[in-house]
Amino acid sequence: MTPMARATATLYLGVALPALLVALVPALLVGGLWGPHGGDALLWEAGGFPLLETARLLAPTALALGRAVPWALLAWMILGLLPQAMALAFLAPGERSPLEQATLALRSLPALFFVLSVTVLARVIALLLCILFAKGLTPGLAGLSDPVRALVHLPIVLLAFLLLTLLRVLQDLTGTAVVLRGERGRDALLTGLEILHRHPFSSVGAWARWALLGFGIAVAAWWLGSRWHAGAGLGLAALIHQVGLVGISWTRARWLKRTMSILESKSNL
Amino acid sequence: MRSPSEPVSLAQDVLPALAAHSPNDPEDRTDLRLPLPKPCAPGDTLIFQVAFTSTLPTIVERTGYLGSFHMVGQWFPKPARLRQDGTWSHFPFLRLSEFDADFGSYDVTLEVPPGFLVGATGRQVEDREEGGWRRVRYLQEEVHDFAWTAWDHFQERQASIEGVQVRLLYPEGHEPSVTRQLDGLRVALRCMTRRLGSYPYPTLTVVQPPSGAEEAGGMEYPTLITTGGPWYGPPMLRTSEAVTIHEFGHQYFYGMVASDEHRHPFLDEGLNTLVEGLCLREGYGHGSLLAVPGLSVDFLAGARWIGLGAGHDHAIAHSAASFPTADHYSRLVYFRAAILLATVRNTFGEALFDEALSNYVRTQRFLHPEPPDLLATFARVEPAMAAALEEGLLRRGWIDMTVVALQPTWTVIARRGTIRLPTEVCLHFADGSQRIEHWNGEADWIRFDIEGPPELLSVKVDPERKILLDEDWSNNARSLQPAALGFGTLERAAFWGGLLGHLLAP
Repeated sequence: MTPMARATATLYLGVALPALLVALVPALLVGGLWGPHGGDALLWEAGGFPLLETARLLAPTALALGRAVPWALLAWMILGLLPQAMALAFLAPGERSPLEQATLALRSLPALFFVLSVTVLARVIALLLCILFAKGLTPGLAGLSDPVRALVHLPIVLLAFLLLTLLRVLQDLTGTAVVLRGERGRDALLTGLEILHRHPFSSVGAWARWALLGFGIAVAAWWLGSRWHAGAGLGLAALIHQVGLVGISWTRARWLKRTMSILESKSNL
Repeated sequence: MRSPSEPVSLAQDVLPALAAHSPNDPEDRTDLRLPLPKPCAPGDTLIFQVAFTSTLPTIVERTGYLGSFHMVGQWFPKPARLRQDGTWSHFPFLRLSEFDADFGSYDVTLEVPPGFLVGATGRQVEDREEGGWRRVRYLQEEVHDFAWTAWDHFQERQASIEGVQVRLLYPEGHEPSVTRQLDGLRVALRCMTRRLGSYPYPTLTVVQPPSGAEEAGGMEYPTLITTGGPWYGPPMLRTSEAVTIHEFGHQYFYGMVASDEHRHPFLDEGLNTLVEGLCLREGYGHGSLLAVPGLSVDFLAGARWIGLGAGHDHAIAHSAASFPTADHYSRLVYFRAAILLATVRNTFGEALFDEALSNYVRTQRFLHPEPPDLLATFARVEPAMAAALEEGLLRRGWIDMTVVALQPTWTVIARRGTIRLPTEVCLHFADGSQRIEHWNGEADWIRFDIEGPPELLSVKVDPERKILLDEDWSNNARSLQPAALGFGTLERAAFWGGLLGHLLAP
């Protein structure tokens, strides 16, 4: 198995297994409602009557479970550090035994957690600033038509998107510096910032290429998989969806590999 | 001796006698009583000359202004309607209540600053500038209200649909939304003309209020409706079409069939919401509310969710003022009434129901029907249909079909609740065969005994889910081998969870 295949498999399992566990909750609830009706295939009937009935009947349960969602998402992000570290360890150049790779990944976790905390906080601040800026503009736009108002807000949306993208790229470059060079969190952040400062277009461009490919795979998997709902078709839909998730994992592994070459070729720190 | 049509001249200022007249609300000044100086005998004619000033609020309760935009409804003194039983239909201007008035002929001249576009009830017969003002005159017969709008930023589009001259007035940039409203109107005019009879007026004006004046949207006046929705109109969601179709439907249920919206709001809102759902489905298929790849949601599926939300703790057929909250009012009057009507239509047969509804609209045109008129029309077509409607509308009726027991050789189905409806029971056998049994739903429960083999494996009551009013569809089936897990749900949730995982990946 090549390092790329191992990294892809690790990233895929890192999202697919938690997703499967989480999916069991609605699957059991829905099974309880529609099991006597022969299963949940009726949820995808034209008109959506049983689907909305499910939503209506399960709304109180969903609201109760919903209170745990922010914490679950946070836990998911933190737990996701392990597959990321493992994938980077697989992709790192040089010969290492599986034990050495695992050790490298585990040793990187505290610094990766620090990087994650800083970049998540930075994302929240960036979004809040953009929202406040947009709200501040609103009173001055009263005389404009709705589409023009939207057009005025568009640069702010693009700015927010750009800031989030830069932080995403920074996080990945920093994570690679942590695993590949053994840097501590603060030093790795400075490395990432230095690279972004010196080579913003090539770094973001490389990320965008793989991210767009991943987005395209996701849309294609959704569109193709939405055609089948029950029986043998359900198996086919599952296959398409999971192949799609593997494809996205592959694009992410390719990007992580690319961060290593960016780090090697563009940083003379 | 004078003829009955000869006016009596009082030539008297009656204003000093005007007095507040709202029962239980001495502060109200929207419902006033005007005693006449002398009795008016049957056949007499009264002529009132009324000079009044109407001070418009900023947009509230569908009327008022925002900047230079004006949507002017309920702006002139309106005489109370004398009912058949000799009582007066009068009530204050309440938040939840709409209106009731007599049919009449309107001849209205409006003067607005030049540069303002005007839309109003009826047909425009004059438009000229005079003394620095734009003067427009509108005429309309056989209507019971008159509303108008004026704005110096209106865009205008015109179209002819089924012989009706449609004029759309809207803010700049709302062209995509207006195109969808026009499409909705084509659906509505075709569908309602066929189901309910022709739209008899030559014009229809559709007004889309600007941002900030949304409160003026989603309202009906004779030959003029206001709509709403975002300028970009998300294509997968049919809200723009739904609002337009709903408001146009009021040209029948309120406009021509002029029931008392204050006392019997379900007669216009409930019936209209049903027809809205039927026309949306006719025009846009099963995705009449939402359509994305792999998922379609019917308008009436949404109506069921909302309509069951207020339970049956208050009857549908109440006056607008008697509902405890706006939420109760909308859930019961609009949506519970609509799903009750749809349930009766599904269970007794679409042809029977459509015939009864069509008879009701055609016989009550330009009249002021009451709930007994509706029920009597349905009873003439099918008495059991009228009985189910009466129970559901007037008496907090409800229904929950459920399978209460299942064994290999017998099963028991119960009808919980008070509404009696015919339904089907589908018996599934161990050898894969199935049998449909018809049940008139009169008794509280029914037992089916099976002389097997093959033995029973599962049973479903109302397998096609015709009873939209059913409190809980999940208890409509039992199986001796139920599936424990929703595999389709597991598959999709795992996929979407995986995508989310990639999005959140550190």
